[in-house]
Amino acid sequence: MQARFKQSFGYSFFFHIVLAIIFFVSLSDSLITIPPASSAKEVQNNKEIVNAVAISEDDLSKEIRTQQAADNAVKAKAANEARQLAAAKAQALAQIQQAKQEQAAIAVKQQADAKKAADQLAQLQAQQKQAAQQLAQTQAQTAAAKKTADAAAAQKAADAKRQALQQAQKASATANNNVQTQNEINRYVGLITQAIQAQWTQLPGAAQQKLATTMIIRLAADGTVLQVQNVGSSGNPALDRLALTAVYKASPLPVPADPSLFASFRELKVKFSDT
Amino acid sequence: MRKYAPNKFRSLTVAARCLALMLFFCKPALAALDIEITRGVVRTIPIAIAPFDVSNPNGPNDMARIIANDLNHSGQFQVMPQNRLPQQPHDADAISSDLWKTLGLDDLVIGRAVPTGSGQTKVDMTLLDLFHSTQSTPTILMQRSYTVANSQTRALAHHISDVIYEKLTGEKGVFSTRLAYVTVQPMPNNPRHKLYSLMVADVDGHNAKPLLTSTQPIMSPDWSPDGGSIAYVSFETKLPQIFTSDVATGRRRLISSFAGINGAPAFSPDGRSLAVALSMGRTNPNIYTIDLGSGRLTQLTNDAAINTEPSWAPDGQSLLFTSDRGGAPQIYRIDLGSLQAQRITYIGAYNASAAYLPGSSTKISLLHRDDRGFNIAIYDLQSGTMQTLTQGGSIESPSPAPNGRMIVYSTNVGGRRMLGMVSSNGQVNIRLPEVSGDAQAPAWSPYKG
Repeated sequence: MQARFKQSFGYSFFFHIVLAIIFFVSLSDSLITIPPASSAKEVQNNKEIVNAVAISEDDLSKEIRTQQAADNAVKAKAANEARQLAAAKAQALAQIQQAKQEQAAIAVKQQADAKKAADQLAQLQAQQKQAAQQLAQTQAQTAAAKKTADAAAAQKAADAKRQALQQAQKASATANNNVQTQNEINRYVGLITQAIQAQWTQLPGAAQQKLATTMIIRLAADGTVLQVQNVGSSGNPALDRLALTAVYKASPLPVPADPSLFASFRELKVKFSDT
Repeated sequence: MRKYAPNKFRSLTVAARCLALMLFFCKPALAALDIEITRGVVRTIPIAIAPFDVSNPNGPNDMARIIANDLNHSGQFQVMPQNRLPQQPHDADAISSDLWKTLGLDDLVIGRAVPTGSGQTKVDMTLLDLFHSTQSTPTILMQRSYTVANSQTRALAHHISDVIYEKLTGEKGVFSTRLAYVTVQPMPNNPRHKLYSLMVADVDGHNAKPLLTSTQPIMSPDWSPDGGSIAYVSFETKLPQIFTSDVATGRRRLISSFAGINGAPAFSPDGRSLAVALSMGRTNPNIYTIDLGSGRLTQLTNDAAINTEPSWAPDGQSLLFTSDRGGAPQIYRIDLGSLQAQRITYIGAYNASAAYLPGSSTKISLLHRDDRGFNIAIYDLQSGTMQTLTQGGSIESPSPAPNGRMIVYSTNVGGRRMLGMVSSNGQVNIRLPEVSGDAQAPAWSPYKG
């Protein structure tokens, strides 16, 4: 169909060109070659040519009309086809449109749902936010309070430290002595603990029993046990007695010779307890 | 005068304030140093017992020797041998503490046993604490006087051991309890036949007397909770039967004579029933209880395994027993209410002869076999641990003392069976004096025995 249309168009174009060439040739002939009334034969000849050309022109126009009709038919057909295509297109479009509308409707619904959820979420978030704000407020208050307290404590500590430092500076030598004294006291506490422990008999059968006996011991300057006073009985006189025996058997206890140190050892509180 | 009175009052308050202030500052200096003793030395109490007998201080029946022997065997005391005593005092005021303290002793027992004529002996006893004070004279912890028949001096010595033991350890002693056991010896006139005797003796093995003698085996004696009678198995009719015998009068009562095995009697804690192992004509025994009042029989186990050696829980609500239902002898516990039996022991391929250790609801003594043979072990129900106490490897019939501190057993020594005792911590293990023939199946009496 298209090939035929192309052919017809080609012919029409060709003949138009031929016609135009003939027209221009005849015109130039008449301009150049047509002498005014040169000869009748010549005029006759010219007339024949013109006629021939004219005939040809008629044919051409006839052909053209045919061609045009064909063209028109083709065009009409094409138009028809186009209309059909357009109609199909329109129908498809309508369908698409409908689908779009449906989608839109769904989307709208979804949006509505989403909005609802979002609203709820927002509400929840708002609540959370409020709670968070309250918490933050409380924390802020606490922090503020703590900060104040810390500051106060820091101040106090600083004061205490400064005072301690001052005191320490005032009597650093004394402080040194105190540390040495404490070390010495600790050493003798260890020695006394060992001495009594070594004498404390735990009966094979009584080993599992829970025992806690406390006694106050008074010592002579050489460490001899002068007096023992039971201030907390285990409830089992036999086990209390074994503890008492341990103290007396450990006498004299190791004590510091320095009288100022011994002052701390004049009285001891000894607690016996099963672990 | 009135004008000055307020001033005077004010100066007094100032003085009081100064005093208070002084006291306040003095107080830290007066505070006692704290000493914490958390670990002692596990050991026995060192003690000496001076001779009681004035006329024959080194005689074998001197009460001091009996007391020394008792305390040595308790596992809680280390008694100084008499030949190492620096003095042989009979009176407290003749004693210098320092002399005895240097020997490392904690306590000293002195006494005097004097026959009064008319078959009686007067006994004085004094328990002295050498470390109760700083005095050079010892502190008297206890002083007792007794008058007893001459024949009772040994029993009195055991009683004195009990009071000393309780004073110094805080626990009841078991020196006045007794042992029941079975001796097996060749018949005097026909050595190819044997003579079986159910014996009752003091806990030190002395003073043994037969309660029953038979030409057929006697087995498994068990004391009633009041110590008044003993249940046992006798084959006197060539078939096993369970009897009880009154310890004081020897009067007997037949309890069980069912077809087949009648074995392993065990008095309930209330003394009203016996748990026994009966086969009822079948090949294997099951555990039953027999009500001693009504004779009513209750079957507790019912299967084809060997179920034997029932032993009551202290509350009388359940029993331990030995069963091979799992393939090898193991200890099971059965609840008398539900009759549900539950396996107790899983350590070792052989556990038998279980008994709750008196004074503990979580520990049981049992016969445990491992690569060293049959030994006594303590199984702790709480921790699931098994502690083996003996090494001998040929132990039989463990029976714990009523204070749970010692366990009596029979063991093989040079081809003969003898009795021994081991402390429940395994630290003390002693042999009881030899008897003629074999001694087996010992049972320790309750306190009142």
